[in-house]
Amino acid sequence: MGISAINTSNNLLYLLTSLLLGFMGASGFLGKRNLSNLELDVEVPEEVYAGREVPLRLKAANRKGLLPSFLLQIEVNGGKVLLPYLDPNSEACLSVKVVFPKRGRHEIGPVSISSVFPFNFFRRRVLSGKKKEVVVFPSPKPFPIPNSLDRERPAGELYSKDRGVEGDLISIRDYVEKDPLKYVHWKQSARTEVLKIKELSDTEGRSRRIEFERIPARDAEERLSFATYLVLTLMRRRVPVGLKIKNVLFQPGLSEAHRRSLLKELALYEECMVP
Amino acid sequence: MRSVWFLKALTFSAALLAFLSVFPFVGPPFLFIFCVIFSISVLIESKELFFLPRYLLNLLSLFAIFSFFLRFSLDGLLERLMESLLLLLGTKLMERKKFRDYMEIYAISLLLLAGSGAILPSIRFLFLSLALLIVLNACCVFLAFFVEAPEVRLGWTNIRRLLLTSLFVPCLAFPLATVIFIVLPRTEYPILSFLERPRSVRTGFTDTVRLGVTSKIYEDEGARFRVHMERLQGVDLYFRGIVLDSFDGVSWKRSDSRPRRPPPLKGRAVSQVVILEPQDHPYLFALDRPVELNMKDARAFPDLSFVSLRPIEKRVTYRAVSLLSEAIPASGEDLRLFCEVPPTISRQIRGLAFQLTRGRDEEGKVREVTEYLKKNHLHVLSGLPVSKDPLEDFLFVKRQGNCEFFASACAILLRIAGVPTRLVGGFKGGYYNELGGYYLVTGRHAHVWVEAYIRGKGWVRIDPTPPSAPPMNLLLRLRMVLDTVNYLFYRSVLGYSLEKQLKILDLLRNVRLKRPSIRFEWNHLLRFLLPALLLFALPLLWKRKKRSREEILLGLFLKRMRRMGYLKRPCDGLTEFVFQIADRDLRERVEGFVSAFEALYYRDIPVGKAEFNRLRGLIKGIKKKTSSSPAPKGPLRPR
Repeated sequence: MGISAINTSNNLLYLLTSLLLGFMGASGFLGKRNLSNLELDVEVPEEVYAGREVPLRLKAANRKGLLPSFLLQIEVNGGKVLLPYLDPNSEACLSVKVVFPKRGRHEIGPVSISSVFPFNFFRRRVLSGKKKEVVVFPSPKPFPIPNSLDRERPAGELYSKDRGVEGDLISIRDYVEKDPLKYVHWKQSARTEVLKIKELSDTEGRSRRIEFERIPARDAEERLSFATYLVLTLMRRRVPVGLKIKNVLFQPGLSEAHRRSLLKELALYEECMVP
Repeated sequence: MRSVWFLKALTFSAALLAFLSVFPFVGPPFLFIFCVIFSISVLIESKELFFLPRYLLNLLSLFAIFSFFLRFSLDGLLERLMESLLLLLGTKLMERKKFRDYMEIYAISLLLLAGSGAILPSIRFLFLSLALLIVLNACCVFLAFFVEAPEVRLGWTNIRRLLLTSLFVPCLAFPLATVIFIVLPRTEYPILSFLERPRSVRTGFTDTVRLGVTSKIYEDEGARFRVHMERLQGVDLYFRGIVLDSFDGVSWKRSDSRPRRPPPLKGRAVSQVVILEPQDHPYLFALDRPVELNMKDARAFPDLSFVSLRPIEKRVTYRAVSLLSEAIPASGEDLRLFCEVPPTISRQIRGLAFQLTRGRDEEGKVREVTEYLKKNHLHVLSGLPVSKDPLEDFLFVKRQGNCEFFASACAILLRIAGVPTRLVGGFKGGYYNELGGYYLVTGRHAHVWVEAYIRGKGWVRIDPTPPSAPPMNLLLRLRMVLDTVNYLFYRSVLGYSLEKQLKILDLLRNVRLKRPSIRFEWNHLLRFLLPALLLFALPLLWKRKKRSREEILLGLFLKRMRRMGYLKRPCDGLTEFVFQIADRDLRERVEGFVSAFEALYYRDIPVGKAEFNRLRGLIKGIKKKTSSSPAPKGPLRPR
């Protein structure tokens, strides 16, 4: 168009050329504004396992006062999701499914936001959000659980007759001063009109310790997968689990924090940062 | 609504606009074919009927391209190209469209528009190109949606938002395009200038004056030229064109056309820029009496007429300088030539001339003849004398005629009396356009007058035709406003050239930045600041207006209560607030409103107009009751 304008000296062709160039410039500006003042936050689930699809929660916010944002393609760690429009001064939540193939430390982000708006001639891209670190646990692989767990209580016997804090109910007795309130058996107390206290057995007796090096497997990765499976399965059955790995000993426990620390130890076994 | 439907509607609109741009240049068969194809395509798309196979449409496209080569000719090359492109556009419209097909339709539409601009530069192009580009802009935006998110169904709200946002592009593009238009490189020697078609020529002004041929003259309001200059007050506005000196009894001709040096003149100088419309004669017009005319290939004659050596087939612009002098000194011409009277002039005319001028000096003769014609003859445009001796018919039988009769009769009567005369053809008067600062001279201003040679003075203008100025009616005023747009478009767009570009560059180079002197002026404040404030305030007002009915009701209620001395704390609910009112009557009324309001508010449906009015009535009721009795001091925070 520009060449024909020059060769004919026709001002209307010059005008059309100018208008087209003007539109191109303006579309570039609008495309840039479309991606400006956007905030993205990624929320990572607490437990991420290698090779399994995990939904990342994205919170996108448009901080522009006037202009909405259109056709936002959000890409994070290989996962893509399209947000067709985001109003000015508004937020939207969406999720994107991501797979981490290997265990260990991974970086999440930076999140790439791209858009073809307004004309689909070019794709403009910006990087948003800070990088986050996530520890990906090994992928659990089924491993036979020792039968001893079931054999120990063939007819409903107790694991231990010692008193503890989180085992089975051993007996009910009267309340003594300074007993913790959480052990009050309210039903019995109401029935007898005397405060009654539950006495629980100790769980140490049935706790298990995983000797990592002694798990039979082809290689270390498979061994880690078996160990992860054992940790998850046993703790799901309320069996306190300990771990001995590379001369590090974790005493048996049942808490969530304990479980994660075991899984984290397994995830970071002889591992460096995965880019 | 799926974005694809909106995209289809916009695409067909773009194709229609492209068609409208080339409509005047395309042959009827092509117009017909395109209209049929367009209608079929609309039907196919709307009903989603069968689409023709792509190979068949490709064959049709090839046929459209070959049809151009088969009819190839340099004459009307662009028109043929447009016809083939129109067929291509039609073929594309019939296809099952993908991203590529949509883009092809938009490209062909742009080419058609460009072609129409290349064939005939006019302001129509500006409007069509703006409309087409705005539509294409929306098309591209929806096409992006169609490609990226084909399954997204856009509600009307989102379509409106998308359209409004896409409008930012033209809003930004137009000022940007203005700058680009000014700076784009230009050349004085275009290679493809032959493609530009000369404009058709209109009649009106002729380079001969022929009497007795027609009985009626149709007034033509078509623009002949525009003269950009100051408004002249108290000056007769005559635009000089041709000078005719030889009369054969029926028609006036120009005998001496040898160029000589123009005579020296004195008087007030008026410079003008004349934009002349295409015409079929070479004469150039300027305010009487022109002494200088700057135009390539223009020549001057000693009788102060100017001609172009090139045919004026398209609009031309030239500068001219005229002197408002009383007379033109003789420049060595043979005055006897201007006293020649054809032998066919009757004795009766000769007798009249002697009778009118006997015993008078030259000025007296001029005065007598002019007054005689003005008093005894009517200026008309119909019922003109048609005979073999039209002058005699005009003077003694019909006694009515147009300016050509008046001027011819005056010139001949004076020549018989021994006063050298000649006819000057041009235009008298014009509409002054205040907005554009120019005179619009139309076909109805075409005029012929006489120049008589008075010894000691020179050639003096004599106008024996009685004046008949057309009134400036509303239609004409409207036309002047529209003409301003046309004029400005020509001056700023069509007339923009390398010369103007260099001038702007020169101007910018000579700009010296000075320290600005800041002075506060109320005029500026009112002119710029207030509109700016209004501009910012309007969106706020709009936002305020957009409050929900629930919010408005609550606001009204709290305002009433505040006036009565009850101030609701932010931590209080409405029910708690009611309990804190000591006055039982008031509390009952407030309770009535609050329970009604809460019933509506918590049902999760917007409050209707009738409900809104009912609740507002309840609020007013609270006010009425309390106005009769003094407000009790509230337990919370009395005002």
